[in-house]
Amino acid sequence: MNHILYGFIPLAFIFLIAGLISLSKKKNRPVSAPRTNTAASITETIILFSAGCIALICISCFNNGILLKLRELRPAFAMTHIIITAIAAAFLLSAALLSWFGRTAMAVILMTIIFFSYNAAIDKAPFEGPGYIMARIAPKDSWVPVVNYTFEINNGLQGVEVWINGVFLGTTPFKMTGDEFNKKVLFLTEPPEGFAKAPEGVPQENWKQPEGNWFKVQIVGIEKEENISRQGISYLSKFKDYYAKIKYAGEWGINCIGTSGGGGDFYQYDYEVSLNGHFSVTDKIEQENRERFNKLLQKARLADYKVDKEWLATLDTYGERGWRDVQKIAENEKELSEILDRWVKWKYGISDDMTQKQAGKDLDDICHQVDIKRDYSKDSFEGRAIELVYDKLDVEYIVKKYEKILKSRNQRSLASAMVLYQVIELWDKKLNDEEADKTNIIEKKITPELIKLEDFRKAAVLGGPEIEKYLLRQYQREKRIEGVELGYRNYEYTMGMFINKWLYHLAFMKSPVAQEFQEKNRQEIMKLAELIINNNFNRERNPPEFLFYDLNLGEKSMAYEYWASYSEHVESSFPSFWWEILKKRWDYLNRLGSLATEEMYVHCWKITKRDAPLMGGYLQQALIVLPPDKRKPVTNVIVKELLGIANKKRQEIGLDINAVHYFQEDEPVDMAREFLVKSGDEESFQWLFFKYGRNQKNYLKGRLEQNVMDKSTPEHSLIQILAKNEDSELRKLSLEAIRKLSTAANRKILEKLLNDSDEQVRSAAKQVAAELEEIKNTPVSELVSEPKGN
Amino acid sequence: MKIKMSLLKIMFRETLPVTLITLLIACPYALFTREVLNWQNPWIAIFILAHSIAIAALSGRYRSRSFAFVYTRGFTRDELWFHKMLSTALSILAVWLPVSLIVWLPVRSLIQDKLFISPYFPLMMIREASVPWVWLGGYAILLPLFHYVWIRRAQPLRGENGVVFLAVGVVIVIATLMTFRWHAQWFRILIYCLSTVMIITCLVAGRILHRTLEVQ
Repeated sequence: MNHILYGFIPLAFIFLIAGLISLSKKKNRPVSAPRTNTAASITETIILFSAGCIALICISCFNNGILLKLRELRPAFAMTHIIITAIAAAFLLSAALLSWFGRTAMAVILMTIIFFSYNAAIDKAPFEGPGYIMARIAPKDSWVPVVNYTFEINNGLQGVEVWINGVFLGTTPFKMTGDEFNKKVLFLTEPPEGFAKAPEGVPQENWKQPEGNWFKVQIVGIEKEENISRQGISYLSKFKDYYAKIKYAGEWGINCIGTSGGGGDFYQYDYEVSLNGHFSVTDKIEQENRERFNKLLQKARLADYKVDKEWLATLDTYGERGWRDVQKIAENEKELSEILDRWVKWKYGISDDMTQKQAGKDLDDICHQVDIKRDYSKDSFEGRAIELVYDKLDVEYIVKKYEKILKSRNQRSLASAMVLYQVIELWDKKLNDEEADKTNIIEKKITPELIKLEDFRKAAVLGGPEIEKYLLRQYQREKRIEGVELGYRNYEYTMGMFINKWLYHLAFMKSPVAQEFQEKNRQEIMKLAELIINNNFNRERNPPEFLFYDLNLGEKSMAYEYWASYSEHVESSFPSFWWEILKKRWDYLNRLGSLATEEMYVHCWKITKRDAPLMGGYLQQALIVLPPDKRKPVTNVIVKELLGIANKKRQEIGLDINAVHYFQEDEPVDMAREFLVKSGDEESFQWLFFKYGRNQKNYLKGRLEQNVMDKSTPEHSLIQILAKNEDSELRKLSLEAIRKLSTAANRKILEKLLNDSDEQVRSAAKQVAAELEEIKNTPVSELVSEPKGN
Repeated sequence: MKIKMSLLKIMFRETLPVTLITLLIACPYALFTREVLNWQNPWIAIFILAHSIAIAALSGRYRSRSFAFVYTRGFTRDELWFHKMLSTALSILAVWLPVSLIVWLPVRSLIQDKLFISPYFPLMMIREASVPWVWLGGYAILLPLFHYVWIRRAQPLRGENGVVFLAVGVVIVIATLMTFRWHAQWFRILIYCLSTVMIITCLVAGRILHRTLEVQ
């Protein structure tokens, strides 16, 4: 299209001349005839000036021109641009004057020459080289892009002194230009004194453990580079190694790291240098905050998750970090999810009886906040707020609002556009659930707009007859599955491949029409899945979601039929460790649901080549993937096989297979058993207890302690097993877990242990009960998060 | 000013061949072109340019006999200018309106949807609806300018070729603007304002100069 468009200019020129020639027959005016009269002078001057103004603005502001970006330039370079533009404008005025005096032809020629010269002069101004006129006009190096650095500490800590290559630069947060930075900080090819040298045989660049307080940070900057193809010099972003130190409250930071990033255009680059480290002052505050946070959660557990507004306000002081932490714990403690919802509802005043106006205000607030943050995700606090408030909003109002955003070029890129899209998506789902066979307002109004914007991914998610018809018709036109010859209109460049865009989106769509298409074009969809999975850009071999859409077909489903191929492809996946490969195979089987049998899971174990040493920890990592109903039978088969291997080795070296002693080959067996114990399998616990309980109690205790102490929320099933055990040491261990996770179920165990037959257990239980009582009585005002620094 | 139907007919007849030919080109194109119409379509831009040149060329044959005949029948210059502009408007409407109706009524959309099984229709019908107004805008800029060109050339003044260069320059500027996919809001407003100034200037100056044009 563009080449036609560009060809249009000369073609139009030819047409115009041809037309005008047909108008004219050569006729010489007498020399005495006047050149112009008032009307002609005014008209031609106005036309020439108007057209000239448009051309001048076009060249100076939109094409190569940077008149609207003067603030980004160095003053000398900006001034050069202003002067050149002023000269061009002066010539435009001269041309207008010529036209006024009846020399319109000359005026047009003059103007054309000026504009061509002006365009050539400012063409790709940031480059040096023989072809770039600006480099000869502007003061030397004034065209070098401006670099701005912002130095900050990751967690927003203020007042941290930053030293780079031994030079003090300032206290965070601070900004400086690239010129200032380069002037102050000398680049060192060798690490400064005090920075540890790599041990012999280890390349210095790979050595990441400096002595003292030094740390290496890669700071991005710009560098001149010869651009052979353009016969000039370009400026490219490049990372360089610097050696940094940070100091806070008179103390050097330890275990520090630093990163930098950012970007810009030809003229200005804005980079952020983020540094992070540990200071005893802040670490202490961090530790205290962590304790307060845990106590706050314990208070909620002790109150059976019935928390008041004051408690929520206290949790709110932990901000985003608190949100993320509670979210993580809630993965194993569902009651906390409800607390998260209560937090969100409290913060935004969301209630069942709230009005549309109030909901609209909440939405506006959220949009405003995310626009300031320039970031939004569905998992965030705001994301959950949207999920809770969306159905209180008027769908027609939201549709209109989002339509407006889609039609506005500026608003589409804002973070609030993502918020509104989420509202739209949630409403679409709700409307589809209510009336699946009816085309809803979103599918009628939003989907067409998204198609017009060629945002087929979003359009396909919302669905509706428009997108179905559109994709089906496009696919009718172009059925080739892949290849660059599909052309940019028809291909989706994904994972290094040019895939048929229409097939790709149709494969991912979920609707009766799409389902029918997927059934009819099963072979093509399978081929697409094969292309996506067996692809060097998808080294994890993640299977596409659409492969699992027709599981209702049972053994005739695509995923079931593809299983053998997938299992084969996964052998060459990354990471290539055996436990990762096993996890991927089991993951795939998990997605097959009831179609995956126990034998299939066991088969995966058998065919996975365990070429690396069989470490129990890795085995546990893989076993976690197993679905609850398959854990015990599959693990038992694995245990049996591993036991066989261990016993065989015992026999080989002449050991008694029934003797209890530490034997290295037993480690994966024990870990597999331990995995079952954590899942609440008493039989496995008895097995372990029988094996280690008598002679090697400390070893067993150590292993169990790891499961209790290292976890913020130890499994209730494990606590139960420990509390019931005949060994008082293990019963005491269960108390440690209860101290951390004082749920109602665990408190019941505590009550029993308060009356334990063993004095030591009773005493420990009393202590735990007293601690819990203390937490219960602690006012929430004492559990507020304290800011880390000033 | 009263509209004189006989004069209007004569003037309209001058451009009739062009009107018929362009109608025969434009209607099938509007019906059958599979691309979604937009304001940047280069073929339509060339068509409007050629159509405008043809209308101006046929209306402004000031050295022809027929021209001299009409101009010596006792009509005032202003009456003649007014009827020329009116006939020009009618010639444009005769082509623009049927094509626009094809776009606006679901004729094009139906043909594209049912006959060509186009994925774009009826989806893009709404988007195409604004395009005929851009075409009309193109005519509105070019025709007053081209009429001004022949009127200026028919004056007993020197420098008659300058105005041709000027018209070429304006067309090149318009073509350049078309190569940009998007214009900033403030720049669009500026273009609308300057275009309006140019149109009004060309019409007013054309009317004034028309009073003094030489008829041979």
